[in-house]
Amino acid sequence: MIKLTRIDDRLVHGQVAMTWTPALGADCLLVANDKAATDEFLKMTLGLAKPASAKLLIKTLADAIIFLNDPRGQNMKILVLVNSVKDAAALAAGVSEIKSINFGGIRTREGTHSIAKALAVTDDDIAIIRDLLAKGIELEVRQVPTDNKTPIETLI
Amino acid sequence: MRKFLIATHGAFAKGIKSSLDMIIGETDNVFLIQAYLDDAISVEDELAAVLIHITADDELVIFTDLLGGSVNNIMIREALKDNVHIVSGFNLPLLIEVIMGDAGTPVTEVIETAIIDGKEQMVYVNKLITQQND
Repeated sequence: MIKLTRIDDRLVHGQVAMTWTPALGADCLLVANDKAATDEFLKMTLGLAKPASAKLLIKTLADAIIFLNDPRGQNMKILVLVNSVKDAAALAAGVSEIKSINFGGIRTREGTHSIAKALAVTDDDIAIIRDLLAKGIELEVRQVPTDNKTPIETLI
Repeated sequence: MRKFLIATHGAFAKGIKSSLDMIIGETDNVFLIQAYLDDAISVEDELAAVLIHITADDELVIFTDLLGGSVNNIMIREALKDNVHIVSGFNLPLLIEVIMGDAGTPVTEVIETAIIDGKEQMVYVNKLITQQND
């Protein structure tokens, strides 16, 4: 089962390894990212950040959707990691189990505006966010598990 | 209640607290001593101001930067009691593990495990990468 689907542009890093993995009791980190799935160097660095208590899978978006819809994954406790709003929406469209998406960190880049601490989105992202909200998917902002959930609709 | 004190020469304590907050979120019960930054206040006095907050029912874990350093020596001299545990030569992974440690697990066990894990985090990355690529 999916314990959490998180958008974090750093994918696997300190916060994820040290706080989310134990708080969720996750035994599998699934990085769903087309670039990471084909980049050996990126795979290696993500592997260094992996907590010992969980296995790390790095798959393309398409393969991640197949994996998450496979009933054999039902007894795994999966933390799904994507690095963009667009990829999160693609996963949610392909995996009906995803009813909630956690917004972690997306750093400022060209064309973004900041809507919360460590969270910067583009106008395209906002359009995708509104679409996800219209579909009834919970979108909550939390850096770490101990933060209070902030519904994203209060920020845009 | 389990409480923590990071005691270092200079601003290291405050600096690592900022890293800690970023990674695990803001935490209560973490006291800081930045020794010798201000000549007007002694480390003993700074420590006394922390110990006021520690009752007999509390556990205090003190992290110091250097084994054999003056800060560590003062902690041993002024604070070492049954409910106080002093750990020297900390690094960030060790701090994270102890501070996030399960309150139900005995503090001695949390500390012992965190020291082992903290040491494992000290890695010559070039060698690790070479091994992975072989």
